[in-house]
Amino acid sequence: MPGLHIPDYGASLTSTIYLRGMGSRMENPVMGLYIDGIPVIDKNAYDFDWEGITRITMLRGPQGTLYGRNSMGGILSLSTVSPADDSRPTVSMEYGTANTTRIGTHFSIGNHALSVIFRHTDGYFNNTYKNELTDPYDGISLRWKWERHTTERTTVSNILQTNLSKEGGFAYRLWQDSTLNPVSYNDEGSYRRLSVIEGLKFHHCGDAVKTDLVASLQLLSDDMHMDQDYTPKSVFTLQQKQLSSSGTVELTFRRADECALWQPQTGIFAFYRHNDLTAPVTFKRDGIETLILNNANCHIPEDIGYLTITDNTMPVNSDFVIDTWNTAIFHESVFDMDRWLLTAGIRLDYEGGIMDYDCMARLHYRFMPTMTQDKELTVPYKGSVSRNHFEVIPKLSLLYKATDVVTIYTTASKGYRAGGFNTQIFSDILQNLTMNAMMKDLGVYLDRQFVSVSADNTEYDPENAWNIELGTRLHKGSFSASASAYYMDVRNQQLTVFPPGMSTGRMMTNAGRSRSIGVETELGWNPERFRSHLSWSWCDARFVSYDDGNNDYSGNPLPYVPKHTLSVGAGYGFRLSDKTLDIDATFNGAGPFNWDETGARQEPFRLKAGCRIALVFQNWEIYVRGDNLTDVHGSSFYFKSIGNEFYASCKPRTIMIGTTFKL
Amino acid sequence: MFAITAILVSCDKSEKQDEEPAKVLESTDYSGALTVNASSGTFTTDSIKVSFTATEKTDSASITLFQVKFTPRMPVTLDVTVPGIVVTKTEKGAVLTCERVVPLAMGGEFPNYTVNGFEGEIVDDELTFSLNFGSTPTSYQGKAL
Repeated sequence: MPGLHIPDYGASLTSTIYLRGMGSRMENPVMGLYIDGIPVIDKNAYDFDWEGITRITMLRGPQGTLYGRNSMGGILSLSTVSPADDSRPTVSMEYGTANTTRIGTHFSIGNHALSVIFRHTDGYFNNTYKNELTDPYDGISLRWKWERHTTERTTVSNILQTNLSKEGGFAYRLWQDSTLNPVSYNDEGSYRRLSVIEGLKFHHCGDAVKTDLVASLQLLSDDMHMDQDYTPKSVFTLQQKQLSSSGTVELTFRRADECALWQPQTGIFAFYRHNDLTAPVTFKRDGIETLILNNANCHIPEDIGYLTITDNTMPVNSDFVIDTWNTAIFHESVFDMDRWLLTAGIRLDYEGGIMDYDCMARLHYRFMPTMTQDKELTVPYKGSVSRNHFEVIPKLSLLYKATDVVTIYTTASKGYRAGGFNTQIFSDILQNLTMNAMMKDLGVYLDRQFVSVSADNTEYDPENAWNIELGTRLHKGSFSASASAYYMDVRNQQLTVFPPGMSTGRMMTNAGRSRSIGVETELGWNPERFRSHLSWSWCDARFVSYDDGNNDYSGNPLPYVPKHTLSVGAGYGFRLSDKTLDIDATFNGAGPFNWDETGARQEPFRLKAGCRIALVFQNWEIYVRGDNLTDVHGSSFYFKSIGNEFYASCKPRTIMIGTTFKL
Repeated sequence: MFAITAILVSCDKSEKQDEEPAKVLESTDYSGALTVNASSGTFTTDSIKVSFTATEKTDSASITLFQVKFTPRMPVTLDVTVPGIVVTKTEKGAVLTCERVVPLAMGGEFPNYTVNGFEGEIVDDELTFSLNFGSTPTSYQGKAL
């Protein structure tokens, strides 16, 4: 899919998606994910193993009119095996590099369709400090679909999808003295997740109106542990544990007569999410020394004294209860006028949220030489912040069928990415409040106070984008092609920034405005037993205005956004008596991109080769497939933490052997 | 019954008198100028808050100087308390005297800035005093807030 870039940031928690220059590694996604028409509310549940997927639909560009929040980059819609499909039970097994084992099956019985997949991998990157692999994974996904035509005109279906996984992760490597060191950290890096999505769909086709009701209940329980300094030192760790429950409902009405010139669609949507989140940061001995004591004592004259903290660990506990709600009403009309197709729509979208925070830092300190014994200091921080936003999301599209094989279209559409609350910054706030409280308790006042944002400033607004696009599609026989050019204007851009003052945290803020100009093209030619595809995108995404208070980055390319994405592949099926030998080769690449706003660190364009060779019999096949065959050593992620630079390496060469049976 | 009540009231009064003897002066906050004759030169800081706190003894008090510097380039300011000040009432206020005493700062005693040569007085609503913090001559003149 041209323009779509989903890098591996170290764990399935971080399903970062970049599309048309948009995206960020924190908080809300720019692309919506729908499974059988049910929106996946939580980005933490985006990354799961696929089994029984029958169709993938990608809508690029803002889809806000019909899909609302978090669809400003596009929509990825997955359809799964249905009881109505006349599909045979399928069992597949795979084994390969890193003891990766994948076993999956999907089948239908009566009104039921079931798919299950299990995956294990030992991991790819060794943590040299612990001498163990840092990114093992065990996960199982199960999907059950029940579908029934209750009357000739009414269909009811129920979809239950669960995912349970336990994994390591965060294989981040220290970049020091122009050398990329191996993964080496001492504290726990892990992620556990239970995701349950229960959806109910109702479809009724009346004489004049088709009615669709889609409702879902979603549960996400996950627990992440991270060594935040990613070094063998005991600096600080983060746990992020949440129990999130959501409910969604969407009711749409469409005209039953699909041949009518005017095809209206009207709907309402609502969702509610309740999230209990606890995110304690624990400063350990090295962190207490370097981040807290050194920071304080460097401002205190030696002849006055110095501060000590006698605890080996200093917990900064942060508990949050976050409620988010959204309601929307939308309408879209399609006018089919012979060769012209006009689409116009609008969505009125309201979103609100409230966050209750209950944080506390506790430590024992002593000022030397004046104090003769330790003193306990407890700093509580409680309160509540709220946010409310109203969005108007229009769309206008015109399509012209130039010939039977060529269509030309132009679209102007808007989308938005929801706002939210910065929870990660609270440890930073508490850290600074603690230092100030300790100094006040001592009667020592630095000329420069420990500064951080306050909780009142932890909310951020939605980011929204206008997309203007011109494109063409061609389809003739076994050949298909599409090309589009777009211009996107992104306002209130959500950016991860380091707050002012002596901070270790980072936060999302509406700091900038950017624009993306790009071209996307896809070609496919699949005559007889030959198949080929090419998809390529070029994107120039730059800040129009972005000043973080220290530097002006206006005009600089957006970080993490690849300038090019390329996928090219070809395959052929050789007929061998009662079987077929399929040989496919692909090359996938993305880049170059900047790792930060300054452009000081860059990743070049890297192309990775893959192949699949399969011997296909009537009811089963056996295959070998490989990814990154030339073992390209690239990086998928870069960031800074407390002054250190880190890279996440791309996965090395993987070879898998597998078989699939159709019973 | 009246007699018992009278005795109880009397006892209660005498207990209160034991607990809270009359102070020479009430605790008061002042704001004024602090002048420090540092080795690098003399500098004055305005709007320095000083608390005169009468202790439980009738003739004793402490003085706390808030957020003071002893050299202009000092990167921190300190709260410093001078305890053990003897208060002698006069017609218009009180005379303050103090023997050599270790001030309190940063959670404990701060011998580096041992106070000596303390002289001060309170006249009406004005507090003035001079002292040496270690070897640093310091003076203060402030008005009651």
